[in-house]
Amino acid sequence: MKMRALTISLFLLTPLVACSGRDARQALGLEQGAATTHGSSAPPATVLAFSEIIAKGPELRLSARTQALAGRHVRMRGFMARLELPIKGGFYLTPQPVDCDEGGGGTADLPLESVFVISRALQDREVPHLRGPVEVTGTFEVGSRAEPDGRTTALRIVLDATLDAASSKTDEVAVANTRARDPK
Amino acid sequence: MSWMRHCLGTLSVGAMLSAASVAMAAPTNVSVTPPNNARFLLGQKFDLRVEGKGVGPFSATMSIDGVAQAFSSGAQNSLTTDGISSAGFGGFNLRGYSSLQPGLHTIEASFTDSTGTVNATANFEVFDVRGDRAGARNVIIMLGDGMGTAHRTAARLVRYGATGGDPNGYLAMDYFPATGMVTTHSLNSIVTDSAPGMAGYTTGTHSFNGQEGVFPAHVTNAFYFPRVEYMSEYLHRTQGKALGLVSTADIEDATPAANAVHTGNRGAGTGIVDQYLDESDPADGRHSGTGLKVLLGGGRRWFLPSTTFGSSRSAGSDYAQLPADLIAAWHLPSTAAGAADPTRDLLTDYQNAGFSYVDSATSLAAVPTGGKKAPTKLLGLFGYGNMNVALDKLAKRRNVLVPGTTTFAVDDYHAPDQPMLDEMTSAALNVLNRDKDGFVLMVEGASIDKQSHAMDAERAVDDTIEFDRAIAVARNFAEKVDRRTVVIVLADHECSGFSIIGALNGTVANLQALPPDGSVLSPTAVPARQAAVGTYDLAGFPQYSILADGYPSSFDIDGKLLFGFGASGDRFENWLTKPRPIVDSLLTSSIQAELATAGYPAQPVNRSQADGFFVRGQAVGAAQAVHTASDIPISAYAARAAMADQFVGVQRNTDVFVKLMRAVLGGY
Repeated sequence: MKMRALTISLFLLTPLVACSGRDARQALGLEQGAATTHGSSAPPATVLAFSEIIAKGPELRLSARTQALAGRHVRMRGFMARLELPIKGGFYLTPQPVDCDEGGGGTADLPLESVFVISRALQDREVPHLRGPVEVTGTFEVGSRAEPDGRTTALRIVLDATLDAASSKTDEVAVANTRARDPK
Repeated sequence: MSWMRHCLGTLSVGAMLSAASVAMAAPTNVSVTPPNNARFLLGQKFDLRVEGKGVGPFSATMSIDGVAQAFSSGAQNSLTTDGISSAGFGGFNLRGYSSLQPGLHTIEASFTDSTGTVNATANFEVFDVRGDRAGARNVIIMLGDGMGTAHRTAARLVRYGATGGDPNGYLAMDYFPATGMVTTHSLNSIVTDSAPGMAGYTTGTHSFNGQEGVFPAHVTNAFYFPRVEYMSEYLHRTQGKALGLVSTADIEDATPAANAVHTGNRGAGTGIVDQYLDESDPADGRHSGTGLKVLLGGGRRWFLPSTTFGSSRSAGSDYAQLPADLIAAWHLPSTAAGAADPTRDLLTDYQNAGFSYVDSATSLAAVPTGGKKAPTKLLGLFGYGNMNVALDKLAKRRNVLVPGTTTFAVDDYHAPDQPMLDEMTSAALNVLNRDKDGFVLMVEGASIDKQSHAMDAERAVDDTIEFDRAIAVARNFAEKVDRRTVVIVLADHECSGFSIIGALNGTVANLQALPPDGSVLSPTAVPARQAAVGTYDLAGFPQYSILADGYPSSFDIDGKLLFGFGASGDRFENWLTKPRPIVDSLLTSSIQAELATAGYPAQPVNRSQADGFFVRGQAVGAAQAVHTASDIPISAYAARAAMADQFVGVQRNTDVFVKLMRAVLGGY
């Protein structure tokens, strides 16, 4: 089912391709064609590519750029990992599509560059999987942190839901924002 | 967490309960461990536990065959009892019990809270499989995770083809002389996961899904559950045998762990890799532990301190100080006491315990196989999580990209030089064969399951071929190196309802030229790619080109085999090998350009989501294919035919343990 692609960043989580996953988008409050822009009050987002996360060279370590962006407002594009054991309140953004089965605590197929995307609007709820590339914008966090369910995350983005809700200009997006905080 | 979900179920598991006093209320969830009708080898150790939920103070009694038993932990008439029970529960334990009396035994227990008493009764059997025949010195378990009958058939058809009604050749596992079927159910479901699936073979008892080497209980830490002794522990304690674990998975994963680790949470990676070492009996005292001397697989992330990038260690997935009565009754050294220590440098600890460490195919190949420099213990970690699958490892080795990709998957996962499973198996056998007392070796082809979950048929079949090449190595060892070896090939369960539905009716070029099927949703319309499935006569006999490395050069041949999934999740199917990375053709041009600069293809690829037809999964709500309750095939080889012949016929999964122990103890 081919739909037209969304072309402008959305407030919370933008599927860059709208070929399927309609139910998931609806659960997130992302109706087809519900495009919006960041409001003027939104801080500028620095684009970070997955290929920039790890420093070049034989030693496995974060790049200087990654570390410098800690605490900054960033935008990343990637894929939502599909987990057999879904996580509440967030999802992993990965450089390529990834399926994780139950092995290794459910995360053994995640690339090292995976970024855990935190949705405060969907706290305590599973984020429905979206097929195809997605774009996220939010505050970038760097450093090992133990999550409540026992996982450890190294890179995180806290989504901009509140910010973008405040900057919404249209009724359509306001509805979408509301649904995002209180999905069915 | 899954272990909490599992332990919240009813635990009585067949135990007979009765209220012993007239009261307005009585404790609930009263259970006796081990589960009713459990079976144990003569002298095999296990923990007994009486627990219940209610209003404290709690007390309990227990007898075996009418003889009163003293608990090793659990204060009578107290609110806290053993100090490890979940909120609202009281628990009383007898750790490290064993019996030298063959036959049926009866446990009678009572559990009392402030409102009343409930009695519970359960039976267990002790069996003696000692005999006069020469026992096997070595046990090799070849475990194709998720490998059902169709996976084996598919690997044979791809590797050798068929003509005129007969296969043109046979897999190594096909040549094993004794073949049977095995049931795969767990203690709480007809459909198992890998933890109880493997543990059934290595303990002889059933466990709950998500749990390995333990019986269900309500306790505050996943590593406090009542234990049952593994084959590796029993044979190390009684015969000094060593243990080797080889897997293409993250080595934390359930299948390897269900040979050596006791936990109610198969996902507790930090504690699992810690316990591998802490209970390996590094001092070789042979009073306890597994005798672990070889550990090869993925999962480096669990061995790095949590402060290091790439580490997955956390306190939440670690184990804590083990109960004192558990340590005493299982004769664990103080080094095995357990601690929540996510910053532990486990790689260094393994090396300090005598393990040589390798991290690539090159360094694995360089491990000395003889002489004074040959290691007696070997740790190999070849990826941060799961190792990459055969198809992607081979792409790098051949320096030929998978169609539709611009990078090698092994590079994307920062593990460019990973060994194949047969190479890992050879290395393991070289080390273990230096142990004069023999060994238990488990080799897992892990991604047969994982790629079946993902409904990636080509990668699942290639991994089955990889697994079969490892089987050939094990067979060669048992036939030509040490004939006192028994080898079994089996799975822990079947995955995905994998089936061979036919073959492509036409050429790949024609398939690629078909109009997109993505919008064909009407049940009255036939997607072009559905019409391309050649069934019955139209399937013919596909013939793949096999390269010198023993694997097909490509899965996308004209008239290729086509596969279905009877326990599937939703998917788009275009019948072509799935490229990695996958970039969707519906990307906006600006995004395509950005991804292209990051090394991904700018042009649309034959991504099934773009051109494939939608297949609604039968597994409700599942994003992936799931395990099935099907029986799985088992094949056995031993130089002594009677040893292998035990496995002919249909058998319970726990019978496999019994038969392996018969092989070792001469009672076959």
